[in-house]
Amino acid sequence: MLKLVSAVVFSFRLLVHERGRLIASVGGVTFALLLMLLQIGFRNALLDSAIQLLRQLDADVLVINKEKDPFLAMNRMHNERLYQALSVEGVESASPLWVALEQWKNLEEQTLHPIRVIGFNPNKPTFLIDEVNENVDKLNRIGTAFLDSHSRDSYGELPDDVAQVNLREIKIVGSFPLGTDFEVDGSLIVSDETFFELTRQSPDWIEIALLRLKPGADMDLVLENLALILPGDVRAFSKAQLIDRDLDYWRTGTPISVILLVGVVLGFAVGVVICYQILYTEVLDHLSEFATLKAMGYGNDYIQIVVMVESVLLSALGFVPSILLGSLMLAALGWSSGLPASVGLGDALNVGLLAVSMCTLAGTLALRKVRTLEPAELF
Amino acid sequence: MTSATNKAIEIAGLDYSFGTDETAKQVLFEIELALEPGEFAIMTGPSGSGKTTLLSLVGALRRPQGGKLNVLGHDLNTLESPELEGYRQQLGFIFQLHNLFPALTAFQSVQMAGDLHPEAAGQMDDRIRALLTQLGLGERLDYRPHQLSGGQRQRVAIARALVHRPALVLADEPTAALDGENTKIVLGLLAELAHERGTTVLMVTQDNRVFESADRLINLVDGRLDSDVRLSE
Repeated sequence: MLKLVSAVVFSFRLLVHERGRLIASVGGVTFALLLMLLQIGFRNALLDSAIQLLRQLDADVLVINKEKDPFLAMNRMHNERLYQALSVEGVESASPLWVALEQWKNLEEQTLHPIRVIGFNPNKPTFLIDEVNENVDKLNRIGTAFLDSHSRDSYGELPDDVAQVNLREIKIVGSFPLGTDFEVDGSLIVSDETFFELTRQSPDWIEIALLRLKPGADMDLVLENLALILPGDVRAFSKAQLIDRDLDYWRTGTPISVILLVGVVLGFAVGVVICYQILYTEVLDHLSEFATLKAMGYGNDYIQIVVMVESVLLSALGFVPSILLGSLMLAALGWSSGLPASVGLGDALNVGLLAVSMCTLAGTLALRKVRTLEPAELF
Repeated sequence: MTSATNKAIEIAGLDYSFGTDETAKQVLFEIELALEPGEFAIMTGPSGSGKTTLLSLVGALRRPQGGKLNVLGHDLNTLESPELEGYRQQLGFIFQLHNLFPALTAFQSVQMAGDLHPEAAGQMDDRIRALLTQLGLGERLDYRPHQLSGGQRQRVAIARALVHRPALVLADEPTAALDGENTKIVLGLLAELAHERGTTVLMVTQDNRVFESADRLINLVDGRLDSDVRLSE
C-alpha cells in the first residue's frame, strides 16, 4: 500500500513538473476524447431525433403500415384499420394521426424547405406535449398551426405570425418543443381539417393509429388479438416495442450509425497514439533515472505502476475539459440545428472508461522500453 | 539464494566478456578478491581495465558468466527477482552521473531511496535532512536539480546512496565533480559508515586525493588483479 501511495505521488510529480509539457499532453488527450465525445453526441442526435415524435405520442399501442420502417418513413394505411383495432377487447380508444412532408416557404429569402406536417383530431388525446394540450382550442380554426420552437432558422422570421406552406397561408398560433431530425428542419402540428386543406390528402388514409388501452388490460393479449384481427398490411406494436425497433434500425441498419461508431474507434486510436507519444517520450527522457531506480532496488512492477498511474492521471486530466468542451460544442450544435445533440451521464462515464482504457493501453505499450531496461546501461 | 559466509564480498575465478562468439571481448580474467565487512577499499587502474564492470557485477547490475560471486551472503550467479531487488536495496550505489529526476527536489530524490526501507520510515525524514545538511545542502532541500550545481547534484546522489545505511557502498568516481572540501566530507561519511557501522565500501576512482582514506588499494590492469595492498598494514 505504501509503495502504491509512493508511486502515485511520484507519478504526479513527474507529470506536473513541466507545465508546458503537461498542458500539451492534456491538450492531446482532451482532443482525442473530444473526438469520441462528439461522435457519441452525433450518434445520440441521430437516435434521439429518430424517436422524438414517437416519444411524444399519447398511446399505449401504435398500428402502422407494415412497410413503415423506420417510424419516420412515410407509409399510410386505410383508416378502416383504426376501427378494426378499436373492436379488439381491451382497446379503449383509437385516434388517427396524419403526417405529410410539405414545403415551407422562407418569406425573407423566398426559399423552400421541407417541413413535417402532423394532423390530429383536436378532440382526442394525441400528444404528450403540454404546450399542445393546453392550447389545443387554438387549432379549431382552420388555417392555424403550432410551429416547432426547435425548428431551424432556415424557416425565417414570420411577420404577423403568418407562414406559407404549399403556397397556402397559415397562421402560427402557438409553439411546441420537438426538434429537427435528419430529414426535416422542423414540424407543424395542425388540426385534421387544416391538414386536409393544406395537404389535399384524403382523410381515409392515415399514417398512424394511436390506441389507448383500458385500465388493467393485458398488453400482450391485446397485441396478440390485434395481430389476429388486423390484415397483413399493418402491424401493431406497443410504444416501447416500436421505440426499441426504431433504435435498433438506426443503430444497426444504417451506414451513418456505423460511420459514427467508426469515428469513436478512430478517436480512440488517435488517443492511443497521442498518449503513447507522451508517455514514451516521458520514459525515454528519463531512461537513466529509471535505470537508477532499478539499480537502487525498485522492481519493474513499481516503474510499471508509476507509468500506469501517469497514464490514468493523464486520462483524468484530459477527461474534465473534454466533457466541458464537448457539452458546449454539442449544445451549440443543438442550438443551431435543432437536433437533440447531447451526452448524458452514461455517455460521460463511457468516455471516462474509454479515456482510461486509451491511456492505459498507451502506457502498456510505452512500458515495453522500461521492462527491458538494464541498469547496467548506466555505465 | 543466500549462502553462509562471513565475507562481505567473495569473488573467485570471475570472468566477464562483452559480446558473444567471435565478437566477444573478455574484460575480466580470473578475478580473486574478498572484502571483509567494514572494509573501505579503493579500486584503481587505467581506463578500460574492467573496474566499472567489476563494480556493476558486484552490484548485480550484470550477471556473472564464469567463476563465483558471493556478496552479503547472496550467490549472485543465481540471484533472480524478487530477491535481486531485495539484494540491490541493501546496497548504496553512487554513479558517475547523478541521474536525478528533474521533477524531484533534493529531499524527494533522497526520499526515493528511503521509501524502499519502510522499517525506518519513522526516522527517515530526519535522517534525510541531517544527511543533506551534513553534505552542505541543508539550505537546498527544496531545490530541484536544475537549481543545483554539478557538485551539489552529485552530493544529493551520494545522500541518496547512503541514507538507508547500506551494508555495501559501491561508488564509481563519486568525488570527480566535488571540490576538496566536499570530497573530504564525502570521504568522512564513507569512512564513518565503514568503521562505525560495518558498511563495506568499494570505490572506483582515479582521484589520488582519496587514497589515504581507504583500508585497501586494489589495482586492476587489463582485466586482471594487478595488486591488492592493505594500506593500514
